[in-house]
Amino acid sequence: MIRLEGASVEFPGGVRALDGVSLEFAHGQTTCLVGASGSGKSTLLRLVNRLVEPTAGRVLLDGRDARSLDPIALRRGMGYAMQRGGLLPHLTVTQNAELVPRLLGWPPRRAAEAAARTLSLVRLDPVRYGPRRPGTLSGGERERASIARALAADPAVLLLDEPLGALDQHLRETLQDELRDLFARLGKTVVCVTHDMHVAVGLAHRVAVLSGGRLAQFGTPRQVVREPADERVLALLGRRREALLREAGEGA
Amino acid sequence: MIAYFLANRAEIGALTLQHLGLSGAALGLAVLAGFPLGVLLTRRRRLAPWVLGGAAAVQTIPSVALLGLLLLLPAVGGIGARPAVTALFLYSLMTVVESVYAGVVSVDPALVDAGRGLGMTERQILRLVELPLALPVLVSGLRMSAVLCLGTATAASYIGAGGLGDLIFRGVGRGNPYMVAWGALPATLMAVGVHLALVAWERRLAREVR
Repeated sequence: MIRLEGASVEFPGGVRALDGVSLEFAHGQTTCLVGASGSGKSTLLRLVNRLVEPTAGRVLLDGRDARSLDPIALRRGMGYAMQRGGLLPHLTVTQNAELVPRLLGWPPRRAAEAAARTLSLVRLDPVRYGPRRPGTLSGGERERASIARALAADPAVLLLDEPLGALDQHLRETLQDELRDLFARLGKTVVCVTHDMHVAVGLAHRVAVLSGGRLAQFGTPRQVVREPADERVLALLGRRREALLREAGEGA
Repeated sequence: MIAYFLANRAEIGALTLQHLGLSGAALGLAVLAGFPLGVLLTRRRRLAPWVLGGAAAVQTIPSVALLGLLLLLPAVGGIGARPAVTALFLYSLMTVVESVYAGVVSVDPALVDAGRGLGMTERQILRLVELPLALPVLVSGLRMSAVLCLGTATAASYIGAGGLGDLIFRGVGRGNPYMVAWGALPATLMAVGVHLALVAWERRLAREVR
């Protein structure tokens, strides 16, 4: 279980990215962090794997302060798919997917099996796509490969930063449905950053809306869409609220 | 021209090898010293302008003047091959350090972040992300150093280090154009050859990391 207690992050120069955020990411559930750019959602995600440290408050992982844990081991134990994929361009898709298992010191054969398995999970044929370099993939294929890399060492927690950011609507919806089924099947605790409330409604059990570094609302997608806590949340729903209400009604 | 070559091919061959040896030794030492220094600068970026500036200052000293100055120094100086290698080393060191630094600094910070997020140690980020992605720039620096060494090595003849400069300076002294030509030609061909080979390597690497 991942829990933030009054977590604040102030960057050098006095920029306050997060301001006293407390919330809990429930085990085996998908939580989407939604907000405009600059709302602090990526910073919040990066607090979890200690890419950013809180300047006040704390992050608890299974009851232990994250600062007492080795950051390297911590990160290897969590899947991380960053914005625009972050695939290493000089490695093949398979080599990218093998990275975390190799860092964990798995024998090459076991790492290769894990990579092939997760590439199949995100529907990238390991034989066809495995030997290719990321530069030759389409946007959607890159997002899939990045998620496969995050899943390869079978982590309990998966951190995703705008996993569907670069995709057109049709592709986004297809991958979104696939991912929701996949996460449910694998029972992962997923924290997913998105600027798009449609993604949150389509993917998440819980939605945390961030605004100006503060937690504006935290609840089920249906709650957030039906009863936005304030005008900032309402503004984020925007003109698409009607469509969102329908989507949230079906899902939750 | 041909007749001169046939009559003196043993000497031309020996001087060519000597020329290669001087350049190769200097370049090898420059890579051995410059590579770790360049990497160190990327970890201590505040030092970079000072070190790179200092190295640039060394490179502005004319080669003949530098060789002259080295005559006065013990251990690394004097006459013969040792000060020549020292001078060529000092010239190429700067290019090597600068290319390592520029190459690593030019790597997309998002990819460094990706490596860190996956749980790489700082050393692994360097080995698995930064250096492989900096490689085209590194090879480009190696190419410039190599060409510089091969070119400047002709001046080393002044202080008795040998190399193809011997033929050039002797030829000029005796007014023998064939001798000058057979000094200049192999030096030029080596520089052009090394240049083309490394450009080809660079292009292949650049395709791979795109």
